[in-house]
Amino acid sequence: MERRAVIARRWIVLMLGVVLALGAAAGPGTATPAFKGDIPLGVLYTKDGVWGSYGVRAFRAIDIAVQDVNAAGGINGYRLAPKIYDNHGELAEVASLVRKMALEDRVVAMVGPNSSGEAEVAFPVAAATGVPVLATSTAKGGIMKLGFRDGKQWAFRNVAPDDQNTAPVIAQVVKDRHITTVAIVYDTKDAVSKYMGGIFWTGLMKKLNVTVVDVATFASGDPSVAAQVTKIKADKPDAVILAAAPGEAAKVAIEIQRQEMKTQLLGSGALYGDEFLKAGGSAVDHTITAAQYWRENPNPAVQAVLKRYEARTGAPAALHEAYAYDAIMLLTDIMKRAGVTSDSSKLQAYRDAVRADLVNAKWTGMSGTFTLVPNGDVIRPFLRATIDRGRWDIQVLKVQ
Amino acid sequence: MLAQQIFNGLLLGSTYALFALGLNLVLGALNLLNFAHGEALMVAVYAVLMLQAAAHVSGAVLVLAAMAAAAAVSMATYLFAFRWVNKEYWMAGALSTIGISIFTQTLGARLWGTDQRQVPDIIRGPAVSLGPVTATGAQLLLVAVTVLLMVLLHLLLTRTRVGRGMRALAENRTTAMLMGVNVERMIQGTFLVAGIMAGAAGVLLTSVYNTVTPFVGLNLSVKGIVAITIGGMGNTYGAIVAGLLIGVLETLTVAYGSASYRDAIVFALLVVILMVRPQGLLGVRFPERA
Repeated sequence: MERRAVIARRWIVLMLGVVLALGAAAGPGTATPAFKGDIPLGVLYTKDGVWGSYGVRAFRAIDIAVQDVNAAGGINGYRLAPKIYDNHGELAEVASLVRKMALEDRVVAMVGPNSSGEAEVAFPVAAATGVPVLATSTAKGGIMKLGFRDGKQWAFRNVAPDDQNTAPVIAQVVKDRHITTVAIVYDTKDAVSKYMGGIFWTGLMKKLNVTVVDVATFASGDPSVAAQVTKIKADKPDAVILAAAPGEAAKVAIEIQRQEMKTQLLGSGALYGDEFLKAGGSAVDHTITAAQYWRENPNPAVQAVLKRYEARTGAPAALHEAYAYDAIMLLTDIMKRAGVTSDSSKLQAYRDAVRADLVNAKWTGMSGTFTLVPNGDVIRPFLRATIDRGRWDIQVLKVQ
Repeated sequence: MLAQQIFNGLLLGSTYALFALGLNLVLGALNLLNFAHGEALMVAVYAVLMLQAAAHVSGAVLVLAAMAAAAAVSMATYLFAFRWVNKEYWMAGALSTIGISIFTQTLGARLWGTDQRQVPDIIRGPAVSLGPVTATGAQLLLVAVTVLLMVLLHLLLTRTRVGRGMRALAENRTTAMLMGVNVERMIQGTFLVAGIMAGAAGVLLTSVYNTVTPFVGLNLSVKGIVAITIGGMGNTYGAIVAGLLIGVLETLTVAYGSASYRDAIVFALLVVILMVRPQGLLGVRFPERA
């Protein structure tokens, strides 16, 4: 019996030693501020599916933003506690996760989701449960009304819709390049691409007096788009408009190059970013798109945030990182001003206050300066982006 | 344009046929549908990408690396979905391959990201005009290799001891064992050859279409299964004929109809075949047992 007690004591001493050693190894640098409580914030993205790369970047930015907020003392002395979910590209999971965040996690606000298709599910649920949601990568036009309920706008986004952002840029390109005929190739499986290819681009071309000689479709994941390209090649359009996620659009560009078709490639802001360059290589050279994120933005405030962020990641900040980071910072600022605490009895009052402040909120952050408008949309600068030898070349058309 | 579209269809069909050959081999020998066959192909392509990024190596080395990577995945599938699975449950093997497929796909997405990645050409060269058809070197190679692999597979199955063993195994496992066939070794050989073929298919497929994602295997697996069903389950030539037929049918549907009907037409053909000729185009109908 005594022997067992001795062994037990030795174990206790050993465990204490391990705990103390770990504590010493952690050092004073890792000490975190003492918080009065947690303020839950919902985060919903996905790392899967055709837009999965956006989610990977957004998750990384959210993680860094939350660390930055809490290292600076949190929100009025309360820790920002994100409730992070991945819906794995499944639309069916979006509704239940939004409901879970609203009713079980009792979040003050939400950030996400990844794609417009997911937003079409998430926005009505968020509005019905009375939680403000700020989306960062959902660019389909006309979806913000889904987040409107009982006279209040609950859904917002800090990414400019593709249609609003693209029209002025492409109108200028059509004029400069004397484009009179185009072919449109779009992905029918993706909500925003389907809207852009099926409705927006045809409408815009009609407005610009440009003849659409061919409209070809495909579904993301199709192994080959050779048939579509052979068909549009026969029509000899001055330009080919690509409405798809960057990787899928690059697949079409590669096939165009393979079939030695000489044409100007055009696209919306959805193509702007490293994914299109990496996936398309030389096949996407000279492509012209609209853009809204400008890493070389000369605003010192923007550059300060960018440099700090990029020092942490060791890589250039992509659009979806910048937008997700800014979403957290904007919501943090609003929650601070609204006096949000961890008092759950005031949860709905806090949600209402955050929602009200999101209307007309103006912010300058990593992604530049943007202003949210009452219908949930955002005003951002109009940029024209051209790929020149594997790099995006930005021309500013209109600054906010 | 019609000739070019038919060529496009034959190219696409060649990739389906090449993929279906490996799938059919395992099905023919073991009566096991390997849903993870597409993931062997996917891993092979990423192995090529990683090797290309790490070192300047020749096309032949890349092809060998792809075959080795796919063979490794195929052998892992053998262990987890066949060797270590209780064979009393007839569905256990096939269901395990679904699990392996999902696991490998998820692992691939985490390791390499979900972005569409560009696969640089292994074979470069200008496009060649063959009458009304324009083709690149990689495309012509795909057609040539499909034919070559078909011939090699035919020779393996009909002219070698290993092939005879595989066929005996497909006929009756117990009888094959009694006739002195090393069944376990034969099964391992079947998975190995199927994996090597998936590797070859991966290299050729991406050389022709130049892009890859971790999800490439799923779509191919579905098309491969449709091809072997239409062609006749376990029939090598049936898989090739059906693969080419599906490729041409899909391409013509897109070119002269709508891409939205691409899959619908193929599955409609599958339903018709199952109704009219359930044993498949080149399959053999066995008399029902009394």
